[in-house]
Order: sequence, then C-alpha cells, then structure tokens
Amino acid sequence: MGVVAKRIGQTLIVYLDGEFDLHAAGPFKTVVADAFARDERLRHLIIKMSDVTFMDSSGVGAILGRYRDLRERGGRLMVVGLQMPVRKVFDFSGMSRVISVFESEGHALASL
Amino acid sequence: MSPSISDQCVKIEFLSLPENVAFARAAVAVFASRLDFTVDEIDEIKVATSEAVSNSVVHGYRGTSGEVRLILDVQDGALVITVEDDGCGIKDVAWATQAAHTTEPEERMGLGLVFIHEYMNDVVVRSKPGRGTSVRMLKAPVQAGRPPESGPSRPTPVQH
Repeated sequence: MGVVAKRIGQTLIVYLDGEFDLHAAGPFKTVVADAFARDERLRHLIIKMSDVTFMDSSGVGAILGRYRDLRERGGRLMVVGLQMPVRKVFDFSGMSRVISVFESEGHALASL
Repeated sequence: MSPSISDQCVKIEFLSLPENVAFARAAVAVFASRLDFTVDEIDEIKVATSEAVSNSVVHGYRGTSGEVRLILDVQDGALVITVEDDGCGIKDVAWATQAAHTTEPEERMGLGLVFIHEYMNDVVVRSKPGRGTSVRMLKAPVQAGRPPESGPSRPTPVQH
C-alpha cells in the first residue's frame, strides 16, 4: 500500500492507495506517528481512501487507534472517499458511528 | 483439515509473514473464480481469508516465524477454505469469537473472527493450546441457486 502525507495548517492529510491490511497497517501508523511527533502544530488527521481497494480488521484497527490518539489530544480524524467493498467493512465494524466520512478533502477541511 | 478432499483441492504452505496475507487473498480469489461467485462475494471471501491468515500471523505465532497452511477445495458446489497453523492455539474459542476479545495489545480489535462469521456461511474453529489452530470456512455462491442455509453463521467453536 502506498502512504503519502502532507500538512495543511493544523491538519495532516494522508493519502493511501492499494490494500489496507496487516502488512500495510505498520507503515501507515509510522507515517502518522512520525508526522505528529515532528510537528507540534498538528491536531487533525484526514485519511484519503479513494484509492484503497481492500481493507480488513487490521486497517480498521489502525484507523481506530489513530482516532483514539487524536481524541485524547483534542483533535479530529476524518476519512475521505470510501469505495466498496471498503465502505462495507467500515460500516460493519461500527467505525461509521464515530468517524465522519466526507466526499472530498475540501469538504473535510471545511468542517474543521 | 477437512476429513475428505476433492480432486480440485489445492494446498499452499507459506511463512507467517504479514506480506503473505495479500498472497493468500490473491490465491483464494483466483481459486474462487472456479465457482459462480459475484464480485461482492469474492470481496467477502478475501476479507475472511485475510482475517484468518492475519490471526495465524498475529495470534498464532505472535510475530515469530511459523508455517501457515492454506487448503482450498470445492465440496458440493461450495468453496471450502481451511487456514491452519501450528502456533500457540486458543484457550477459549467461544470467547475469542466475540467482538473486541483479543489476546494481543494490537489494534485489530478482536474483529477477525467476527468478520469471518459475518462473511462466510459456515465456520468451524478448532484449536488446541500449544498445538495450533484450524479455521474452516465454507461459502456457497448464492446466484448458483444455492442460497446459504442461514444468514451470518453462528459461531461453531470446537475444542479438543
């Protein structure tokens, strides 16, 4: 899975593509942890998932772990662009009850 | 392993590495194409396979190297997937099948077996502490006129 990150203001935007599984969860967590450790201005995280074609409970856990971290820091985690079958896993896991999903990066940033 | 196999049976052995989870998913998807599954059903089969193999890597071997066996077969028109390991086993299969129950402080939330039961028609987990675990999952193609006997399967824990 590809993981690319950029900062806009207080928000880290992480772009993912490919399959979000056990093997991919590690690099995702490292990129996010490193970015927040390096830059104290960061408060929020947007995960762009439009190009994620597969996700299992390892991906779910990686996202929920970051959600908990951010909530403790007073920040928000948002997800952008879920496609099937990732949407189905997202909903079944209960993540859609606690994490906001937006159609675009712009909409997610505007909600802050 | 299932008590009987057909002449279509395929058995693959690989090491318990996280990168091999994607390999197992791809192999199962190719094998499942022999049956009349929809794209959605193939997606569900891939999730279930991913969960079973990830469980072997994370819980069975706990990050150490071990052998995972993936056995694929067609029985009575249904796909039968068995994932076996020789890892630490599960003390209480019924407990492990419930959501949010996990033995590791990692972040998969104990959802692996929950996803497997949701996406497959029939699931049997056999485990013996210190000896390993076998997860046998069956799914029949719905559009081939073989509707599943029930909706999401109920846990069928078996311990020896």
